[in-house]
Amino acid sequence: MSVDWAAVYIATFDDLVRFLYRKVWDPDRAQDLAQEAFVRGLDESPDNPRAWLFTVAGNLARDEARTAIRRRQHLALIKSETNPHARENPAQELEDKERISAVRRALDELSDRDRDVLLLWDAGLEYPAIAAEAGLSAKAVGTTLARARRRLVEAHGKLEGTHAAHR
Amino acid sequence: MLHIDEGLLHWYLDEYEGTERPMLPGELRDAMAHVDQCADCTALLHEARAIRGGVERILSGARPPIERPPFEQVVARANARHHERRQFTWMRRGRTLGLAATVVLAVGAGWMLLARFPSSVAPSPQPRGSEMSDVAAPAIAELNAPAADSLGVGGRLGQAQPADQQRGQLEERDRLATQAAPKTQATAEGTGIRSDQPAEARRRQAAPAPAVATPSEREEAMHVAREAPAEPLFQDVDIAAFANLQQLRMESVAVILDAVKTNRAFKDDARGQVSGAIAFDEESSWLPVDRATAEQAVGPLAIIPSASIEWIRMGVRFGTTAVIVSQRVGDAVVTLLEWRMPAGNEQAYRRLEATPTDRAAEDARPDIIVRTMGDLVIAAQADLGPDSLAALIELLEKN
Repeated sequence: MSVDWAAVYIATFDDLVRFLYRKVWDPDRAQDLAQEAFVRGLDESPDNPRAWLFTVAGNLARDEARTAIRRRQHLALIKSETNPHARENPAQELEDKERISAVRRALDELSDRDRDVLLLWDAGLEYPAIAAEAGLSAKAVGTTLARARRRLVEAHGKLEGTHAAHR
Repeated sequence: MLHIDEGLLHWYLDEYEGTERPMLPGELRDAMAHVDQCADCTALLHEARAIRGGVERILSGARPPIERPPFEQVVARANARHHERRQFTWMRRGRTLGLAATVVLAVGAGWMLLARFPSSVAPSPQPRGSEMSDVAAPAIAELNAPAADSLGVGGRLGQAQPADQQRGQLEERDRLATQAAPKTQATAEGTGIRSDQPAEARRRQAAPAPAVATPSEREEAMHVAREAPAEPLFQDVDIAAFANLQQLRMESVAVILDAVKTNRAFKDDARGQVSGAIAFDEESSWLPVDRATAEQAVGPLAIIPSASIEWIRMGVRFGTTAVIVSQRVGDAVVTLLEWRMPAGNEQAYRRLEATPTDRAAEDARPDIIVRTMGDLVIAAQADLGPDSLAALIELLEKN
């Protein structure tokens, strides 16, 4: 079966970047890894390219995590030199950073599986694809999502409460 | 009464909310029929909906800015990857040939050396023990055998063992002699050896003269042993021939053999050259290569003129073949990360493009400088001041 990769690219790239971003927390790196997933995809002919791309992206993000600490120095250097997302308004930038940091810490409160399932759902994957990716049944995906969502909301609420108390 | 599983509610909300009930899967259809009649479960459904909305709100607070590059760029990157893979296939073949060449060289060198020094493996002559009783001789011969070897009866002085080892053997011989004294005492009556003599003295009387170390001989042997080189084996080999062999290994085979190291070893090796080095920590291997191979892959290298090349490695950076060149300039090691951007793959290029004009960032990090020269991107790092490093980079630009 031949895959219309151009169409898949348009339909999936943004979701893939969003999914990767919540794993590597670096927008440039997330875009780079998303491209890398497509580059690998062009070599393959998966039956379900969208699900396949998320699987590859998940693996890339895992590999990325292993080398992130060592790479951080260099990427920070390059980013500081060419950061295209730098804002004019420092107060706004600080607020954005705090918000992203709160989301990140709340997500860190989840177990790996719960977080993966939640991020796959947020990236727009349907239950059968999530189930295949996570090795669960469709019903179990619902149960996992229910647990993950509840924990995320609770964790985020606690962080916001702490943050408000500090302010 | 039992209420329905929360997971079913989320499944319904995510996949089927708004769908006509008859269209639902059987399990969900039954569950929703229950929800319609159960106030508690209806409340649970509302709560699940609220939580779901809350999660969407939270996650929307961490959405990255997305600039989708044109699909053609991905295709170009994939094509570049194809190209690299073909090159690496050839490199792998070369590595196999290199390993085969190593084996041939090793066997050939061993054969040559053995042919030249057959005596180094000749059996040691046995110590003479015909004057001793049949019973005492083996025990005494056993006691003396190590000493005979180290004192030159079984081989050349200081040839086979390092000094420490020889000293250790002499001490071990004494210890064995003390332990073996009762054994030899019982059988020594017919040999004229007095049983009340110390073991060392009995050995001296019983053993044939050439095989026994007198104190002066022993001291002399210790002296020779102390002065013996740590690796005396083959010390008389033609030094020039041996150097040639090592030289050959360094230039061809050793470079290829390095490739069988683990990725981590590569990284540590590369990073060891310059602390906090330019991102050498990609998953791909940075293979040590010769200059011709590197230039075949990425075109002419930018080399600081008049500076010797320490090593060259090739790997993948941002999906493109890149080369790391380490050069020595005086006491400093300059590491150049070079790569050429294929058409259509501007993303990584763009990251570095603005760097040369960003003087503030350069000043903040004086040990790294990035330059773009046409399609060539060079990141240079060295333990040098910014002016010195910039001067070296200018040399590159001029050339």
